[in-house]
Amino acid sequence: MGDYNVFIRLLIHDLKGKMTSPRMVILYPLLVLFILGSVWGFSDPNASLPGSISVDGASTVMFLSSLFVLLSATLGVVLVGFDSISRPRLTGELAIELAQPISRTLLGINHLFGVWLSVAVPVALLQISSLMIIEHQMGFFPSTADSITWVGITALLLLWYASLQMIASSMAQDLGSSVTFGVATWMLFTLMWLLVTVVIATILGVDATNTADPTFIRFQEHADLFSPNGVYQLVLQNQLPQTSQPTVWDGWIDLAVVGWTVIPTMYYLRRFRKLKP
Amino acid sequence: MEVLVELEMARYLHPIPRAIISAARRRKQPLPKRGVVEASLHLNSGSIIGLVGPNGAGKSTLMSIMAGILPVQKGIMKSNGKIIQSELDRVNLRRRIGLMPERVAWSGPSNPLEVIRRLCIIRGENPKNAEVILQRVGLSSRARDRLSSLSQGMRQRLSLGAALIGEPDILLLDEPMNGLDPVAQSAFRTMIKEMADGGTGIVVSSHQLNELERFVEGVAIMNQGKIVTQGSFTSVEHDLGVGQRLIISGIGPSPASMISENPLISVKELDDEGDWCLRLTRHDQTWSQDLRASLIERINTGVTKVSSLERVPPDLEEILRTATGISDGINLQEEE
Repeated sequence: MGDYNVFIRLLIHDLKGKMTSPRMVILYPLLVLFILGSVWGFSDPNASLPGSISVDGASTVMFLSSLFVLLSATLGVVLVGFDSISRPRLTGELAIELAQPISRTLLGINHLFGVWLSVAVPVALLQISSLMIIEHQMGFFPSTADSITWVGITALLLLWYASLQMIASSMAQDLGSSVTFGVATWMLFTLMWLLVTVVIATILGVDATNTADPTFIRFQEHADLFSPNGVYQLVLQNQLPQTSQPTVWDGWIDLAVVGWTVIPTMYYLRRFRKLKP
Repeated sequence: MEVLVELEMARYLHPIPRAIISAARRRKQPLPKRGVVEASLHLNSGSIIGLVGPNGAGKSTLMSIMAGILPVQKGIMKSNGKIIQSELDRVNLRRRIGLMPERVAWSGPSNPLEVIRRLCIIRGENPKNAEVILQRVGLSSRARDRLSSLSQGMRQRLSLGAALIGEPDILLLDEPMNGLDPVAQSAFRTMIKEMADGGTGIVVSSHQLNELERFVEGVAIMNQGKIVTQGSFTSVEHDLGVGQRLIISGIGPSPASMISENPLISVKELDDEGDWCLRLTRHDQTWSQDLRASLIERINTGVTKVSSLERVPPDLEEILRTATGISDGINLQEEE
């Protein structure tokens, strides 16, 4: 049997296990509430949103609901993946796995994809279901390009978080450090990034006292390229009407997408290839 | 007899933490070497080798090298005459190897059946074979129990089952009898012997030397990352000069002090029937016919008479002590 055939069979086996695990069973209702609930709320024509937020199309609904994806699905990846390498390493199970006739790279990808897809698949299914909610609420389906971008970039965002978490899990000598790294990374990019941006802006002499100032916004968009959440939102923001699109050059956003996809994944695989039980 | 795995001066040293490097530099001491410093070993088909050595000798690291988990940093490893160098070579080597690591603490929401099924998939075996494997290691009644509910013995059986998937040519077992009940240990010995009869080359690392002696055919002794000696019990005894124990008993006053005058002979008084009973160990040569006759002649003077004399082969513990320099009693002192 070829290595790739083994890889696919193993991935399907692991996905079945992870997707029916108690952790995912707890996460499912949260994902449903956050993704379907947010899309339902934002696409309601009678809804009055706080501040100056106005919904002027399906792409805006998808952009706004991305905040709820960031709050739920990315944390889901952290919670599913924190012990995927550190636990079998601590228990000794990893030694048995590493002694099997499969290349380290494929085994490493299997671990990564197992964590990623166990969250990305249900999230994608919920997003596809959300398209029907949008049609039901607003009377039209979002464009195919917008829908593919929304589902695709969300899947990529979860891959980025999965790679970061796998790096942490392969480095950690105990489960506590692995989960701490994962949660701290999630908090940095999800809750603290604006603060980090303001601090850096101040250090670099950019006026950060008014976050609505165009200079600061431009700076913030560039700083967002260094955050997975920022890149995710820049991609979705690019789907919005012209006036709401980011000012940062598209090429930088594309480069950031490629960078966030390739660099953590390659680094993780490099670590996994050299991993000692 | 086919040589399944061959190590020639193989080395794998674990990376040393920075703190230890700085401490060693501060004290102007040489850096400690952890892992396998130099190991030469031959594993033939159908042979069972006992790998013994004190804690930290490098036995588990050696097993990991042989299992294709860790690369050989220096020296050569061959499998069926082919040098193992690349990851692809190691993948091919791993197709032929079953590894049972020491004390795997199986845990998580899975169960033994799922664990073996998953490993069957990785090895390209039919997952339906999982039930047969579990039956073979006596776990079929616990096949669907949560891993966390298994006892240490059950976990050992599961690790053994994992090593048996795909009928490997080479079986590497690290402390396989830890936690097994006596009946399971006996069944384990029988199974190992049957597998060796079928041509499987087996390496068993164990601290239970009395158990190991009951089924291994040869022994490799490791100490401080090196294989000190390897071969059949007889050849190892000869290499180390530990085949020279004599149990001697008799009547009359004990000749212990008289024998102790010879610095080449260690004397230990044993409790036994009769007036005295001594265990004599020669450190220079074997107790030949002439030496024994001369000894009896020296003792049989006056009222002291030898009533029985018996040559006793050394046990594995004795061999290990001689090879590693571990003295009587448990040596728990950390090496500098």
